[in-house]
Amino acid sequence: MKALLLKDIKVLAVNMKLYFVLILLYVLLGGLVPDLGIFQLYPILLFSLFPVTALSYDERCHWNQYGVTLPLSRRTLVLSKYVLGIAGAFFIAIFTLAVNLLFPVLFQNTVTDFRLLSCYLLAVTSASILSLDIILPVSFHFGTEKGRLFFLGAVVLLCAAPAIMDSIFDSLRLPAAAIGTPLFSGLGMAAGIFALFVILSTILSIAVCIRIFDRKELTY
Amino acid sequence: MNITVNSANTIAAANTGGAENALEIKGLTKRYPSFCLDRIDLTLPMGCVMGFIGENGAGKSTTILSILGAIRQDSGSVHILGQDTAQGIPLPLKEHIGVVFDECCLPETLNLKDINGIMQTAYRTWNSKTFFRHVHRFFLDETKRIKDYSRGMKMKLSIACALSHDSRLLILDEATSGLDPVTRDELLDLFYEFIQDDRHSIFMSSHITSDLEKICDYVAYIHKGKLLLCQEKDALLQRMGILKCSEDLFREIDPAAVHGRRTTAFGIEALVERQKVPAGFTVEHASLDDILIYLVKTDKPHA
Repeated sequence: MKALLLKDIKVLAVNMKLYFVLILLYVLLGGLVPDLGIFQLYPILLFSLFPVTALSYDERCHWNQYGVTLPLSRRTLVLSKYVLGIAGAFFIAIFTLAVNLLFPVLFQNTVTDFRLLSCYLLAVTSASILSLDIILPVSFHFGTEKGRLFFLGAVVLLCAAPAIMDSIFDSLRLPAAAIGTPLFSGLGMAAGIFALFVILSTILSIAVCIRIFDRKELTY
Repeated sequence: MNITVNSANTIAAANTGGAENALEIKGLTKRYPSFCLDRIDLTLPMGCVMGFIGENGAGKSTTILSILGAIRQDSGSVHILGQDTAQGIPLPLKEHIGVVFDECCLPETLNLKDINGIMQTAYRTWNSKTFFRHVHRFFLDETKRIKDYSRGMKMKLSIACALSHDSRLLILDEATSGLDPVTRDELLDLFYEFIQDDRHSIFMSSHITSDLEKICDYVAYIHKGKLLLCQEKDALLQRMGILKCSEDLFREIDPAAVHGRRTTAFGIEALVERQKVPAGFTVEHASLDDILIYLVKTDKPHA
């Protein structure tokens, strides 16, 4: 698993340098300019698509045929892509959380509500992982070329998702006194239920993906 | 080694057992709508090199991918270094199998340091010193990315990877095809060094028979998914010969001795078993190429 993650990270680091710069820029810009906060959501959502990009690089050099000859199981080859996407989305979410907690204190002399922001980021991270749950089995089954149609559909959804979520959360920018009211509790619960749903969908997606890849003929 | 000749001019080798085999395939079958790998039986004894020959599309890669578990066989069994692989190759066993495909399957944007780092975490038995020793021996530029390497350099890198862990069986799929004679010769030298350890074996597919004549102990020939021949190379070359004679004289030859024939403007040219040809006939040396061509591109045998 470690070898596969290392390989994917190195490959992505070389090929996607511009994306990483953009991710950093979006998160920092969103932290500095509150009106551009929506920009911070795209990196979390887009990072979940990185495993598909890694998979397409694998396909290009026939890595999977070679991968099954290494002391790694097919299951590990599949799991590494989920771990990459999920860990990446959480890493960016935590980075975004840190930026949003620190920057207002440093530059705007205000305080961000940790709980509200956490709910917000949890929901976006869950949406990001949900998209991964759909795209990965399709990509493993049909290949990333054919899976690109799903990828495009998912990108449209992902682009719309921050705007929808931002408008929801915008309307919920509540005074401090509102925290703990039934409305906020409902929001926290909704994010929690959504996260739980995504955990279940991820388990199902991994099981489906392993089954698909187990049966896959790795010819070249 | 017993040789049996059947009516379809197939020469099959039956291993008489004894020492542990590096590779043992029995009844390996894989069916596709337009192609069938048909009940492949072959045995590679430990410490030996087997050349797996066949034209493009004959089933060489399908056989190799089936052995490695990259594709699922419909029936048959594969034993590697004495272990059954019916449930997939056990992970510890993979430490002892070095694989080289006909193209470099490593991510092209990485460099040698990256590859070493990845392989070091993948293989418990990976030896970085050995890896870089091969890298230096092959004059591979450590600063370049793999995509900047020539085909020959990529193949050398793949071979360096296959030899840098505790490989006891090398499985090479067209590893020398498309390479210049000098590079091929370097690689053959390396394979020759590898098999100096009698626990080491090589199963290599190729259609460059001159390479196989140099290094192989055994030759297996696959045609349209069927194994036509699996033989000790030297015994095969000694046993077989090319007979050139007129059609009238050719009628005197026992049909069981003839494995293939061609009618030319000057008479008949046939691949024959030397010992079954009556005295007085001149039988010339047959190269591996001759044997393979006659086995496949043959006229109808005489009555």
